[in-house]
Amino acid sequence: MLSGAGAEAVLAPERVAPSTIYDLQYRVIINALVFERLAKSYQGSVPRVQAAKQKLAQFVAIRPWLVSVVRDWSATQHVPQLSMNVSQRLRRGFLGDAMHESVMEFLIAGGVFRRDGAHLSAGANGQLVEKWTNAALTAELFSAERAAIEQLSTITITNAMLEGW
Amino acid sequence: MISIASIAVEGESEVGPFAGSLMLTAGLQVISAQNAYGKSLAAKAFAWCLGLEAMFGVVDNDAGFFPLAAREEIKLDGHAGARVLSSRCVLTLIHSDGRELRLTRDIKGDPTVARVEEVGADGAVRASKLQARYKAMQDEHGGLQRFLFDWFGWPRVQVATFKGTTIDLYLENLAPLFYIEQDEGWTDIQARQISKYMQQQIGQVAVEYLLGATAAIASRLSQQSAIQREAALRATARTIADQVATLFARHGWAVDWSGGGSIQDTINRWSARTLREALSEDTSADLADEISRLAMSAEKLRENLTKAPIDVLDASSHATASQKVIELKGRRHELNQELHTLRVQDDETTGLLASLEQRLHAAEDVLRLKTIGVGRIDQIECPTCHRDLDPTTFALTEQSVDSVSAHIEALKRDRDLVRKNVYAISTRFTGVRAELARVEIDFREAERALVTVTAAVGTVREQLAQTAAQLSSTERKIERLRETSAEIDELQKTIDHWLDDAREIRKEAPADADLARRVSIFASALRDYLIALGHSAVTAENAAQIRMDEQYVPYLGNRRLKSLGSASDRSRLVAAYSLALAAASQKVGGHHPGVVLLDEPLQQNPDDEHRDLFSTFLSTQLTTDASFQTVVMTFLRPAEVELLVKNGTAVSLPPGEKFLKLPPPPPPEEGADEHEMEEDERSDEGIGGPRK
Repeated sequence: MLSGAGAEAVLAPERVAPSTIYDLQYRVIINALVFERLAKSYQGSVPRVQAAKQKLAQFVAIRPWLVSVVRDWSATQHVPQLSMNVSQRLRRGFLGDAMHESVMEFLIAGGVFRRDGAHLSAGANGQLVEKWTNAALTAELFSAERAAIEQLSTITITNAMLEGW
Repeated sequence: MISIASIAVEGESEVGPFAGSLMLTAGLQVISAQNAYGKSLAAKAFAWCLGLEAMFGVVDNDAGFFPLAAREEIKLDGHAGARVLSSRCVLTLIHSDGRELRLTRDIKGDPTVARVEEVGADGAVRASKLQARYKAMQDEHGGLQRFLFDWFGWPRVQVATFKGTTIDLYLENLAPLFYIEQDEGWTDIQARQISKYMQQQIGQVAVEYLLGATAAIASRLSQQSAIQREAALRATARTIADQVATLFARHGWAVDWSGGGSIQDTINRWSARTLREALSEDTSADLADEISRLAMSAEKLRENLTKAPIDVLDASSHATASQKVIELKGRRHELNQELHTLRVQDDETTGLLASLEQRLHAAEDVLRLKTIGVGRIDQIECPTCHRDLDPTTFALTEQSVDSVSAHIEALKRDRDLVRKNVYAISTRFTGVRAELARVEIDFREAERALVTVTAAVGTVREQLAQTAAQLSSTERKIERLRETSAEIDELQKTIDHWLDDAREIRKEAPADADLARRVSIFASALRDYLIALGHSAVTAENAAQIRMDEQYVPYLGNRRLKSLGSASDRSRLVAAYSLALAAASQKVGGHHPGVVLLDEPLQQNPDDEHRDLFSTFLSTQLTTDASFQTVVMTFLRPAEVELLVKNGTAVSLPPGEKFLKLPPPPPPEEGADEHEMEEDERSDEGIGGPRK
């Protein structure tokens, strides 16, 4: 019917190209930046970070406009109704971030990270984290994401906020 | 082309002077000595004399990467723990044209200065002191690197930085390709490349320089500079367009004067008509006409005020003045309402635009990440088997440069659309605010006129008061239009200046053909060296598939060579790359120094199979016949030495247990043992192999 009407197919590649949010290289670098900034050493152990915190932080880092939502959530966490109100949108998006789990599996298989119970720590190829972070800093890449991570590091993210995910 | 004639370290200690030296000749030579002999000390002395310490990650003039024996405490024959009082390195280079250069730099003492002795082809000696690191390239008369580039006969080239500036290409950017040091040099191609100077694409530039492709480097810089200048010009164009829009909107004039699009588009648009012409064509507003019309109106009002007869029965002045106040008040209310609506729309659209800008910025960074090659995830490999991990196994995809570029285009289209909305809202917002300001002024004037007319006694005075108020208002309008006219002229000057700057930008075409030829010769040499070194993934059958990508990373078919073969092949690849680059540079007349120094290649893989492969490689014609100097510092077993010597490879066995030692006692006056002398000479100068 369309052909009969003289309609012509037009392909616009830019409309079918996936968002770079789904690019592995991007997600790997962002995870490296998050880990480098948020991982901490406890009593002489290797630096590590809660896996759920890593997931939340990388999710917000690639969506810097959500930093204020996390801040409000942190500030209102002791008021359940307010907390529920401000965190709904964030929780919904965050729970659906299945790609992050795949990226983690990939990095763990590559020895970049290691699962340590509920935590993530550097693996046999952990030096890559520092290498990627330095590369991003040297080339001045992902400044907005880095600024978001920096802001996140100043926000108290409690276990209660991370539980249930 | 140069060659190293000697490398020496000398100094004074509590127990007397100490020294160690290696005498080298052209061509291939293997310096074989036990571990901890001090071979790497000699290798570091080479780097130190050339001011290359940045390669070791230390700050300028910091000799901290030298072993303690050279700077703190040395163990000399029979004297344990003698304090080092002073020490220095001495490097002697010989140019292919016969000139000689002796570089001396203190390890313990004053490392900031390098003492230079030039010996000309005619034997004349010229001594000078140069700054080893401070403005080493910029200082034409006192900088060591500047001197070395001149002495080597190398051109200076500029490289773009990530800050948008340019910076010199330094010797320490080139050295990782011909000086493979023991600690990290073998981990990757150009493992010791310097990143702290923030030079863009420095790895590629270094390869191109050594291949002599300076035209390609200049073209690369020119393109990068043009891109940066274009970006700056585009930003300026947008600022100018905003100023124009604000000015016109203030008067309620809708004029199309966009600063978006490419530079050429903007040049075409802005050259086609002047601001005044645009104003006239798009709004039919002619400032000169308007001023003239208002001037005539003012003249008429003045005449009415001073000469024209007055109708004493006309009592409409008060009603007219009152009506005008009411109308203006109503209009002010409408405009305030519209302003509120526009403010809400502006907030929402600006938020959307900011989100799109952030996504676009991230996407452009991803594209840069992929094109400049930093943080490549193909470095991820299985820690056990060293094979690349396939992301698709994890349901992950790495987007191609084309895909990211397409996404950027989509985001740009969305952004442009939203930006147009923001622009339209902003323009309307500015227009409404400007109209509101005008209405406010008119309203106040009308109120004042109403007060005056109300206060006037009698119809005559009422009419005179009203005419005077109108005259005053008209004269103020004329004044405002003249100010606007001057502003338009000023903006037109800015636009003309921008057009002059924009027309000067010319992009040079890259020197593709010449560069491709040089890289092709490099790739061909790399194939030969990989086969000769015994890289397990490269065979005579598949070697033709070896190619370089745009970053000069070697690939075999579609896979990076670095990821192929066994772990021990990594060092073979590094060695092959360095030697092939030197060989290719000789063929194409590049700017390679003609020296390749490989420090401890066998320590990377000490197994017998690797040692055999390397020994065989050192005996191949490809290696022994190379026209450049190759210095291999390692430890060979007696049988390996014997085999190499038998095959004509020069092997040097430095005497003694340590590189640094006390000076030998003075030779006996007479009756010297001839047999011992022969032994010493053999040890000092090496055994076997042809001398070139």
